[in-house]
Amino acid sequence: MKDWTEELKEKLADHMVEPPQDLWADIEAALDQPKPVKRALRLAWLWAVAACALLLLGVALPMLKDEPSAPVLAESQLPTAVVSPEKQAEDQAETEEPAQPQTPSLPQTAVRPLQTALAVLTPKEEEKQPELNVVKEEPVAETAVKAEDKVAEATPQLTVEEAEAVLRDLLAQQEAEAEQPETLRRAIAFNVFASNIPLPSLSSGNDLVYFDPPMSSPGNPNGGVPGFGDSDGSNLPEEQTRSFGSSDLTPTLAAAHHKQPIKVGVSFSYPLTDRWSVEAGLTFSHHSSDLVYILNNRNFNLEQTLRYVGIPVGVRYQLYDLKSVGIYLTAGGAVEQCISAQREITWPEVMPTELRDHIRELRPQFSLFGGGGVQVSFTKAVALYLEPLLTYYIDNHSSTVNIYKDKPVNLDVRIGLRFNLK
Amino acid sequence: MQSLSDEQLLDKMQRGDRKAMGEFYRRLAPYLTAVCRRYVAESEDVRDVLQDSFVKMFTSIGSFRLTEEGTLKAWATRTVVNHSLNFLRQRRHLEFVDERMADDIPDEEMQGRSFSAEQLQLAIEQLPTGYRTVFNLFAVDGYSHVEIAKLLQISPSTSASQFLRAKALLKEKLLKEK
Repeated sequence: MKDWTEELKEKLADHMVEPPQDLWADIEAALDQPKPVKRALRLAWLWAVAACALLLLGVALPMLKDEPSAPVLAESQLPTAVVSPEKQAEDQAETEEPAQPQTPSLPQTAVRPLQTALAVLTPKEEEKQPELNVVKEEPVAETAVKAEDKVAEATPQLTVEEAEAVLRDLLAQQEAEAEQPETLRRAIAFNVFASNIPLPSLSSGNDLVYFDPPMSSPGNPNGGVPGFGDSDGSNLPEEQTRSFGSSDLTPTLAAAHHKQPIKVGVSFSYPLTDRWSVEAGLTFSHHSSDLVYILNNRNFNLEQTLRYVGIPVGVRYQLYDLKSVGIYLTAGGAVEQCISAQREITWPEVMPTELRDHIRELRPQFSLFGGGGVQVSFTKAVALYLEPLLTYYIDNHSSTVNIYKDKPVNLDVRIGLRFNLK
Repeated sequence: MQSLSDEQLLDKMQRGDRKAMGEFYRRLAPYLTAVCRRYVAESEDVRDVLQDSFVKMFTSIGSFRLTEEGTLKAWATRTVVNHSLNFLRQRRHLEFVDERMADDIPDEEMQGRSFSAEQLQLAIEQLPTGYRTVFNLFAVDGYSHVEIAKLLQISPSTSASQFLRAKALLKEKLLKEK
């Protein structure tokens, strides 16, 4: 006797219902629209931007608050150095005032000897030196001028020749310092950077940069799907379980399209000498690949997402410092560990739905890098840098297909902000 | 265009022929609409799911290989079922709660009674989503409980239990209408 559900199945097998009105027109319109940027890529971008913004805020705000005002004072004092020494005696007599108590907000140590000399040479030229009026409006500057008076009073035995010599030395020292920006030399720096950003894909998914890697990965002729050959097929429907369970039916990699990985990171650099510094940091990278496999003369697609955390270490050698622009060489190595590996399998001919699973990639990925860098300083504390780096990824002999295997030599362009902490 | 075989139609679609795609739509849209309505209840949702399914089919048609007669229709059906399930998952409609078990009317009661396809379709559409999904997958689209368990991320026993409850409720609805 036939079950009534069998009869139901037969009756519904060719049952038809009128499609929604204008559905075909909507489908055609959708087909004509450009492909949207993939959600995963958009999310990765958002994460990268959010992480950079948070780091920038966290580091930049406290530094901006602590920006010292002393350099303004030092600069404002410099023009007064060109003063005729003949006027010294009479001016000193005219402007002598009772000594003021010294306050803790005296100018920096480096400025004080200069002021000593200035005090001898140019005691209070208020009418002839309008710059000083401006400076005196500032409370700090006012204190400095008063302190200057006190110093002048305390050093009456300094001769004009001696003062001139001190002034010459100090000016020479200041010129030398001006040629060498303080942002690069002998400063511990905190760096925030991003590299290999696929800029064209921001506007449209069609513009994604694709590589043309070899059909199979080196060291793994089949480019086999990890886990498929020896899998118990626990994630697959029964029909596929049988296919994959057989060891002679190993899927073969037919094509691989790797999208440009996105890498963001932070690092600290520590100066060893005026030119050499060492650097270490932490990176996060997001890799996405479209892979096509063939099994039993049938294609299936696999969308693979890998995420790595890495520790780069390196050295930097300063080549040139030209005012606010610096050029340097850098080299080092990195180790990266895969922290997440997800695959989405689409097999249109056989599988009714997309399957997602996770694989384990335990082998660390080592790499070596070398290249140059250009840095442009905005302030003493903040600089923008660009580093084109040639990176060689050493084969870790794992079966996971990724861009590191298909393209072991990569040009990474790293862009970042450098914050001098000291 | 109407006389084209599946193979010829597929070949044209793979070359990006929009007219061939239109013909494919005309041939299969009424059947696929019925399939989709068995899974997705709301008319507007049916429209969205069907549109996404056809767009997906036309954009991934390049990777499809025809192996036997009828495969094109089977492939389209699986695509629509797949999209319907994804839609239900996204909307969190797929809840597998054990609602009131209908009185277990013996199968013999159904013998000798004839129901039209429209009656059956309507009765299925009125089932709670969890019941309806499992019933469709098992009784109409031919999936096993193990496959359903993997597709819907439930246990095979939950699938079997949902099917039995759906079947009892469907019997009750169909006999009530008679």
